[in-house]
Amino acid sequence: MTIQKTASPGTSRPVISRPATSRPAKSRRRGARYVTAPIVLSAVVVVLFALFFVWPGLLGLIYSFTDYRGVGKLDFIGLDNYAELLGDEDFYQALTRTVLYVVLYVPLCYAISLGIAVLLVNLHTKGKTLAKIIFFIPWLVSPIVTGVIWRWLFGESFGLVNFVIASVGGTAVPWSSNADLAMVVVIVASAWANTAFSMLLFIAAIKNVPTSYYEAASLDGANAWQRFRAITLPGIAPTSVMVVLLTTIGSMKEFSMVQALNGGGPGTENRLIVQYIYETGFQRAEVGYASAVSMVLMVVLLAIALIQLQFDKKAKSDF
Amino acid sequence: MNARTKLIALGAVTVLALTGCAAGAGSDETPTLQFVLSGDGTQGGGYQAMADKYKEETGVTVEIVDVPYDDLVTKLRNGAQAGDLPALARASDLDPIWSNSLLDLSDIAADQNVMDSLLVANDDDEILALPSDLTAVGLYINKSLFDEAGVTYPVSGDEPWTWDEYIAAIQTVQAKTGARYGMVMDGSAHRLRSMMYEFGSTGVEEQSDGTFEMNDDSKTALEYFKKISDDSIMPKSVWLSGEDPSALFKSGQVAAYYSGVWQITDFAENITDFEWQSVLLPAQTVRSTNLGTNWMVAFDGTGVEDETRDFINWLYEPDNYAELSEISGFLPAVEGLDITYQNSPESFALYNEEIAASDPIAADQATEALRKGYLGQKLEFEPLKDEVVKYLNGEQDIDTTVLNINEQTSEAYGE
Amino acid sequence: MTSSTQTRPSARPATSAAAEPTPPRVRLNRRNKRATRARRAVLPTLALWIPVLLFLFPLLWFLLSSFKPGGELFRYPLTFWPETFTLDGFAKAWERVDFARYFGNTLFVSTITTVLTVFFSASTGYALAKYKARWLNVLFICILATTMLPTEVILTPTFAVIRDLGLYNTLAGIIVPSVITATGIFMFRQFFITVPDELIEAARIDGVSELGIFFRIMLPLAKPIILTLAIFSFQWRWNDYIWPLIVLNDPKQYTIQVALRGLVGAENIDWTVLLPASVISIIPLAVIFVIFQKYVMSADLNSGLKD
Repeated sequence: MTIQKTASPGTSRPVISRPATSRPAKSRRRGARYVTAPIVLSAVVVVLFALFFVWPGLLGLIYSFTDYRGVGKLDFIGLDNYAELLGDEDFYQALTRTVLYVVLYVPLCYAISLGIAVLLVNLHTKGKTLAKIIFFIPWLVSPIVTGVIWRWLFGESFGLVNFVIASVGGTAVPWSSNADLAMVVVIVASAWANTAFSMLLFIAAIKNVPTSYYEAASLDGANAWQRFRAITLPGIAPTSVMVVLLTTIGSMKEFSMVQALNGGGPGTENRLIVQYIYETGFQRAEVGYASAVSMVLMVVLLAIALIQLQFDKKAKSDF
Repeated sequence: MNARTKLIALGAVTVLALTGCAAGAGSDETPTLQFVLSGDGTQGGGYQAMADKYKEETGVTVEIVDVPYDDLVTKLRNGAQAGDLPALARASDLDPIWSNSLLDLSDIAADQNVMDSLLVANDDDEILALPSDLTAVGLYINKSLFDEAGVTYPVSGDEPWTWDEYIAAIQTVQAKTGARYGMVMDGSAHRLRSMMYEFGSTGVEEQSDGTFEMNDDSKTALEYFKKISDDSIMPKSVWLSGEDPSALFKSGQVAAYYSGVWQITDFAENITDFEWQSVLLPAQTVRSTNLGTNWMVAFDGTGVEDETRDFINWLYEPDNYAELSEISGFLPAVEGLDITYQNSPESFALYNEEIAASDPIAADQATEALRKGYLGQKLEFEPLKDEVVKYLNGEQDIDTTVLNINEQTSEAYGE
Repeated sequence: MTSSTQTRPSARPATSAAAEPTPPRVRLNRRNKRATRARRAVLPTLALWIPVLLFLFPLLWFLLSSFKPGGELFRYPLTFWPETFTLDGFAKAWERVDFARYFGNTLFVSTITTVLTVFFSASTGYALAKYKARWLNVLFICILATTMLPTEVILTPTFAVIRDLGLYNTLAGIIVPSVITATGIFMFRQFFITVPDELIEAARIDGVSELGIFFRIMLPLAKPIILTLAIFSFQWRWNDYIWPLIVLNDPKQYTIQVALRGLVGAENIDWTVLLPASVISIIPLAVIFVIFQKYVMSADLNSGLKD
């Protein structure tokens, strides 16, 4: 295990008796001194990353330039896969539909999980433990079961919601036959299943904000909302960035929930990008094509990540 | 615990884990045959029972590896890539990655009277896969609703009804009982094919020039299908959004369910609110169901080829095969057997009758797929289903649909 | 400021019970305090329990449906409360799925993986947060990139890697690839960003080694994150099915999700078995969650740095 290695670069650490005068000298040496430590600390992850991501990723990249079918030879076809996908209407439809889903879902999920986290950290709320369990369990349930639960609720023919609507005199709503309504159901079901994740991150982050700040603010006469905006939000900024980024990436890759709920329906109107990759690529044994689309998806996600991380830089410097 | 102690503990545990549980597999004298399949547990455990019986009789252990259906292909494929194929498997199709490593089972097929229409030999006259069991498409009705409406239906020994007569019947039932839908059909190309056969279609056929085409009767059938998918006779949500047709039927609000023999056990146990019954399929011009099967294959290069053959031969012996079929509710792929089913024997009898009376086209889909499998070709997806879904959803017209299906099938098999 | 940073708050000013009878003024104050606390509780409690009820409804349905017999599950109109309460489904599920074995397998693998994951995520996250280097920034982006390829895409190549490394059919084959997690590293990085640099400076001045700082100061500070990531990691490993399925040869070593997926038939699903089985399968995780969350919540109300 690499951690057994001692990190000390071997130079003696000067005993600084008068920090004030030595500070300038220290900062000049800082860059050189702390080279080994980060290497040691991240060594294992770097190795694993190389083995289990770079290597397979490169293979995938190579496949994307071939017409590989999962078996047999690799015939290089250059950029043909990419040309094909850029000309495929279905690809753009899948991509735009996915973006729509993400744009609607991420803010909703952020607001809900943050709101709930705040309430759960609040000292005065009653019944916190039970509430937390109730929020957490949906996250444990597998997509197949989640799918059937929400189908029962929003089933077009015999679902509970339509049943209630019909009993009070309305007409049954086409939850699965209308693409947009189907999307709403997917969003609601995803929020139900995934809030716990962000909620837990926020709880840990909020608890990390020193209470002395809050005490000071109350003494200054700030009310709850002002305290939230001025202390909590900036205090959890790094976590906020993380939650938004992870939720964005996660929802861009959404597949199993949609499959379980409505199979990407009606027809292919709600087919999101990963389902597109799956159906046009893997299901047809067109591994090369699927790899190409996946590479494009990764580039899109990288771009989103880089943009969102700009906010992280800001958060880092603000804190 | 301080950090150092934690680290040592971590290291120890990791080393233990990594070495302790490396490749298992005992090294006893009697070989173990690994048998990879899917769904034995959910179908009554027939294969496990057979494995236990075999062990009693011969002392050879057959290890049943029951994997999820969706992962069966992946499991076998990756096993092949790791050089770790099981002794035998019950696969849904032949996978090009291992279709060249199969044993010849033609002697077993001959000896044990395996159903002729499902035997496919390759160019060297070898039969590399035996049908493990049979499934067939069939029609169920909500008997309570039909009786309430006073509508009759054809049963064993009768002449089948035409599609027009059938649709008229269920519409009467709907009108008189207020049932929500007339029928539901599984969202599966397999079921749709049988409907097409019933209109005289011959499926997506290979033409002399190597391309694939459907005949005009196919087009008629598809148009008829769209006509009845009007959210009144039949809901669109099953085909378009994957709504569960079985659940819809079990709610008691649907007059008929176009599915297959595998529902019998489920219905026998889980439908308690109304009476259901298996009835004859409609036949517009041709009487035909659609057969389905899984393929029993034995792999070469496992070191236990002889023992594997012996087991398969034993499995297909009349007594054993009958017992297997009874426990798991399978239709037999072996001829001349008399099987007493525990659940709803009259339904099974009806299925056997339908199969016997069907046009030979019924075995076509299964055998064609196998034939292609021998050539290392495999249709991984269903152009028929994908295009019909778009057609039903109004995304394209019938001619485009037919064209796409023809083209995509030709392309997929064109390698 | 000392370098000892275990900021467990000193005991709160006494509200502990005294031995002698309490004077009337104190009793009155205490009653007022309780009243104020109760008043302050109303709004947040109400605000919390509305979403709780919304979340609870589908969950309750799921739980109650596992107690319904097959005939009632699909009846129309749908029932919420079971008309016939039955444990048959649970009995069938218990018989069909060898829960004890699968729980054992999954727990074993999950625990080892979680310990490794948490440890290496913490170390890498710390490196990314508190050290400056160009390659560290690149590493961070690279690690994020691991979340950007869908699993199916890298499934086959990753399997090839596992096989070529000789890890086929070993537990290491399913543990080692799962140790790296972008989420975990990201979590620690964001957390350590919030730790003031002065802390590290002071420690260095005191002569603590870099690794010493990490082990003795940073890790204890990060307890809430450790526990939160542990919960996540358990859940992820609990839900793994594809790697155990294709890397391991012996079906007796499969995990719980493989067994649950096996309940989904080729053409239909027996809900009367799947629903109870799902309920059973989430109990251990729920228990782990409750235990860990207690620690997270009780971990220093001022777990951040006080000054």
